[in-house]
Amino acid sequence: MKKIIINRVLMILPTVITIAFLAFSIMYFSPGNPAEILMRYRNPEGGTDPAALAHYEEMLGINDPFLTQFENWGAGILTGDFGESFKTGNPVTEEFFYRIGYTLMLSFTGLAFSLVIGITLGFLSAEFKDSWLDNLLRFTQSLKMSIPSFWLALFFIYIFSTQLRWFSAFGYNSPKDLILPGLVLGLSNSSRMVRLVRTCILEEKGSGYVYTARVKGLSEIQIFFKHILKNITLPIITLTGVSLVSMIGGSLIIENIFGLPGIGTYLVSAIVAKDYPVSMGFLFAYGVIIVFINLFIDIVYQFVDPRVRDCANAEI
Amino acid sequence: MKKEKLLEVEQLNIKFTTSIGDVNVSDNINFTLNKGETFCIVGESGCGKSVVALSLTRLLPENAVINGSVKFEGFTISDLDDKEFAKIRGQKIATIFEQPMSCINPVMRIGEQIAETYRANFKCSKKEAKLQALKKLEEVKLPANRYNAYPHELSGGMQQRVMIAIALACNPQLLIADEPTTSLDVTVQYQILELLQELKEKYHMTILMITHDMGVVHDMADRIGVMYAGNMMEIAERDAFFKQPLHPYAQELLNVVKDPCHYTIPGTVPNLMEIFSGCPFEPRCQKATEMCKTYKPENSVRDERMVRCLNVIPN
Repeated sequence: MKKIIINRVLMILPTVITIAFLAFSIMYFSPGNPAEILMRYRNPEGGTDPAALAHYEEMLGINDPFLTQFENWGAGILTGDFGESFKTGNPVTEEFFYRIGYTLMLSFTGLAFSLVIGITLGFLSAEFKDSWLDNLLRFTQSLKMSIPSFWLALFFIYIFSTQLRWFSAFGYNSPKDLILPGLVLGLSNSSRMVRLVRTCILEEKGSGYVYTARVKGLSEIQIFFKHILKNITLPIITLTGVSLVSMIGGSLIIENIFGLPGIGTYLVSAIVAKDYPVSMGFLFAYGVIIVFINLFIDIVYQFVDPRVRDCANAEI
Repeated sequence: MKKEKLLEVEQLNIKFTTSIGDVNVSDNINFTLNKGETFCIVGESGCGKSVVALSLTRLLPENAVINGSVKFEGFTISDLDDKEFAKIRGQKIATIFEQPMSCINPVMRIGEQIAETYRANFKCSKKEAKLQALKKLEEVKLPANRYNAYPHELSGGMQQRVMIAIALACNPQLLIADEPTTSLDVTVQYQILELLQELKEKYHMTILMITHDMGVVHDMADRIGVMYAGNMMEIAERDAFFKQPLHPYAQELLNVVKDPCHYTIPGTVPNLMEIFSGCPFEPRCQKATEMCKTYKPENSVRDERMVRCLNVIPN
């Protein structure tokens, strides 16, 4: 077990290096001169003085070869220095850690909602297969899938904030403010979960060990909790990982609507503003977060399913 | 000596309702199991053998319509509701299936699966259940250190032994074995059959075995039922059956065994969605007459022998 985990962690290194390389080259090859942009931010009325421009180019090391620049940037990463934002002059890491908290809180709230909704509805749908309830649930799932999340967000703001005044519509003051955006995020991600849980349960119900469990004299509830649940955990975990990744990466619409200062919003505005250090740093951080989520899920697999454990052991 | 009856099945009719019509898998089947005997149901694949076995423990899907009466120890169990029936199913009737790998939970330790059966039916502590499970492991000749093994760490034969241990956890009176050796290779088959025989004698169990393997039948059966297309064609004592099978289908089955390389029964098992106006075996039967096409044969019984054929009278 330890061996597998160490092995997986070591495998991360090349991935992370690749991510760093890609994040750097995307920005390197994008059109525009960073020095010029930086100069305009620092000195808006300065015009285009070639001497000043040369000074900024010197400062950023723009005339160095590609690999030297990459090395410099990479060395910075290793010491936790991602440079300073062109726009604000603050260190990128500071900007990042200020914002990642919001994004993570929002994503995990969304994930919690999507898991609770997905497993409950999926279970009901499977348990009452082909009944009116199942049909209704299936219909609402397809409906939900086709509703864009911003519409849902605005709709919820209208109902819960404007009409009922239960939640504030904008900004973050207390954890309570996460409920509404989390719910929207969770709802729009739960459709897949509901379907997956339903299909998995139905599939497992037809499998031999469920028959055996019935023959043993176990009740249907015991069969579900003791046998079926553990067998459907694996696909649920997989989808949880995928959902989490897509929520962390894709929550910027929700962040925008609800005025949460998360990294999604900030990254997009940084890209638009050609804030190179922020864009590179955030892209890299995104990639690393996703790698770690996958690592975490890989490790969880080992605990849940003995077959995965043995296969992985055999590989090493 | 009058034999004590354990299970009596009368007028058992089973059909599946599907979107393209009804499938009749059991047509007025009658048979009884005497205490302590092994009764084998044989027939080709698709004759409804397994369905009959599964119906006894109510494991059929919801689209199955079951009619008829099933008595267990003189007590009609076909009237019981599901909750009452679950008790009998756990304690008195056990079932083992064809595919041991898919019939034990892949993510649960095998010992726990055996212990769980015990705990589901008797009030006892976890410790006691574990002791019982270890005892059962020993009985099916698996080493005690396999208690913590997962199913995928075992071979097919060992998995079937686990299946048997689970089935026997509560010392059932009736064991339904649905093709227990079909998925195993020949040497392991023999070991498993021997184990079943041994445990049967030890616990005075009655076994209902479903198989299509005449060799298994010859080794295990006390009495034999031959099924074809949802019909019980013949029921006979083992010795009498192998000496002289009466029904043409039973004769054909034995012909195949005598010359497995060259002889096959012409034709195939009919689609069970057909409704037979005459004898279902008539199209493949070499002894069929004009009458067989129009008249459905009834059961004719004499002593311990039953035949469902217009041209044969048991004597």
